[in-house]
Amino acid sequence: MDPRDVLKRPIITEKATMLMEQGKYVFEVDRNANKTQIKQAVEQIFNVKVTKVNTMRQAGKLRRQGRTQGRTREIKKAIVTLAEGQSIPIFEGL
Amino acid sequence: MKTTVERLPDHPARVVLEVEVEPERVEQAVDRVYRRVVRDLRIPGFRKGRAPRKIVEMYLGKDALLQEAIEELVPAAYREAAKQAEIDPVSRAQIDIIDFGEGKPLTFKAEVDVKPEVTLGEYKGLAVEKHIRKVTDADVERVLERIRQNNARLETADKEAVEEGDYAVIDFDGYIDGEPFRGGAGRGELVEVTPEAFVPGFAQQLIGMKPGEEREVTVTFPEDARDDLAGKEATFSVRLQEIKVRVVPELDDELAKTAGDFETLEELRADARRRLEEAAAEDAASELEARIIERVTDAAAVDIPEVMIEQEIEQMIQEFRVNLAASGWRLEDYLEVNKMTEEQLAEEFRPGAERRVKSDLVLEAIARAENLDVTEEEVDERMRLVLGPGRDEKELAELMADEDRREVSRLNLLRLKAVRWLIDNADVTEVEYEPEEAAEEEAAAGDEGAAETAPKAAAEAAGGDEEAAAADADAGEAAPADETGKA
Repeated sequence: MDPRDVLKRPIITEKATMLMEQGKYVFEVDRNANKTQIKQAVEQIFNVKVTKVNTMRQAGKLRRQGRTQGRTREIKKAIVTLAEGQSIPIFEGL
Repeated sequence: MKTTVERLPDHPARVVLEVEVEPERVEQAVDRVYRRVVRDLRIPGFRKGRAPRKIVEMYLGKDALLQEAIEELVPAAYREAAKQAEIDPVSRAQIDIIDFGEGKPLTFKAEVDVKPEVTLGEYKGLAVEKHIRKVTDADVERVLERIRQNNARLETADKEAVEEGDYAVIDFDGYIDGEPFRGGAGRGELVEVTPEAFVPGFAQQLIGMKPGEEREVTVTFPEDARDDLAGKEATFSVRLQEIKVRVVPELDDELAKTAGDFETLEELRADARRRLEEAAAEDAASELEARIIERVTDAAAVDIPEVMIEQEIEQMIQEFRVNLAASGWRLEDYLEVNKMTEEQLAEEFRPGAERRVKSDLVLEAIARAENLDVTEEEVDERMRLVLGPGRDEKELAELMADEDRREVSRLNLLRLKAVRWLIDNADVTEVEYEPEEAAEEEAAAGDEGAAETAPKAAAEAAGGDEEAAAADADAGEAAPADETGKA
């Protein structure tokens, strides 16, 4: 899997910005990517050393509009911890 | 902050400031803008007001904050630079931003008209004459006569028939074409029997009436009467109730007691003289001021920038407008009546404006030359005095905090001090002069005296237009520019 397909977009929220201070960066990643792939992708693209990857899946939420029912998109998020002292210069959309 | 000042060679009173603001200050300004902006900014993923600066910059565009900061910083920096360069701008500066950027200094140019240099002529120890009008016995007697007239009373006269100059108390019912009209009837109205009173010609037809007598009186309303009456012929049936005459009290101790708190006529007379002398002294003092200001203004040379004159004209028109309004006129109407345009009026004001600007500048220059100073307390005091009346404490405090207003007050005070200094340092010779036969005073006495005794002939019935008070204020004498004018 191409590293650019693994990482879909950075997640920029209040919480994610707070995590950055601890060297942790949050990405939305491909649903099928595993931690190893994510680690490699980040290391390659941003040229940094990754020490830890935590992933989580966020199930799509039930949404309904009148009679039709649907789900929002399921996403997989990864919190990538970089080696001490490293950082990723400000996220630009991938 | 670095400022370079350059005077334009062809305009003596125009200055170019080149200002450079340090990057740190730019950064501070950007930060201030960020703090202000972020409070109301909603960015997805962040609660309101919680987005960090970098995110905001990305969201709004890199330069948005910087732009905003520059817009804020430039006027402040300009004011500071003007102060630093010790120039007194008199117009709005024309500002050209030369360069700015992240981490770079902000540089801009400001071109502005400043107060011109004043070349003072002779102003120390001027020999001037103070003209004091002598108070004559005739003046005093005139005042006493006025007091007599003011204390005149209407008394019911035991008279056979009405004569000219009497006052008639009448009931009347007026008809036009047999119909009563608004304000056409009255009971117990007092009418002075003179040709002009009430409707012209009305009162005279009362002459010879006896108390209790009834009479038909026919008059034609003048053309300038109320619209529905103008030019119409009306018939009044009039019944004379009684005749009153105006009784002027004798000039004696009795009058002194009623007119003021005096025991004897002599005291009243002395008081009248004292008042006249005070008035004469005041007149003389302000005349001396005007004279000395004129002297130093004439002696000095100033190259006045056009903007200052225009501003002054603007202000004079504003004052003129206010003066007109005080007598119920609008400037537009005034211009129409006099067949003038506002431009023509402005042209008419021009010489006066030049004069005012020049004398202001000269006085300021004198104050500077003599190191006259105005303290902040004095400014406070003056602002309280000038702006205080009619305002509550809070409003006043707001005005007093306004630096521009303070500056106006400060300059006014400074000029006053300069005038005082000029007088203190002038070689003043007091000259008493005999007044010429005062004819104008007579006029002043007349309308005042009428106030109490004159019959209040039913104005509505007369149908005359509200007397349009003469609003012909002379431009040259318009009140000196004061804080109130700008309020």
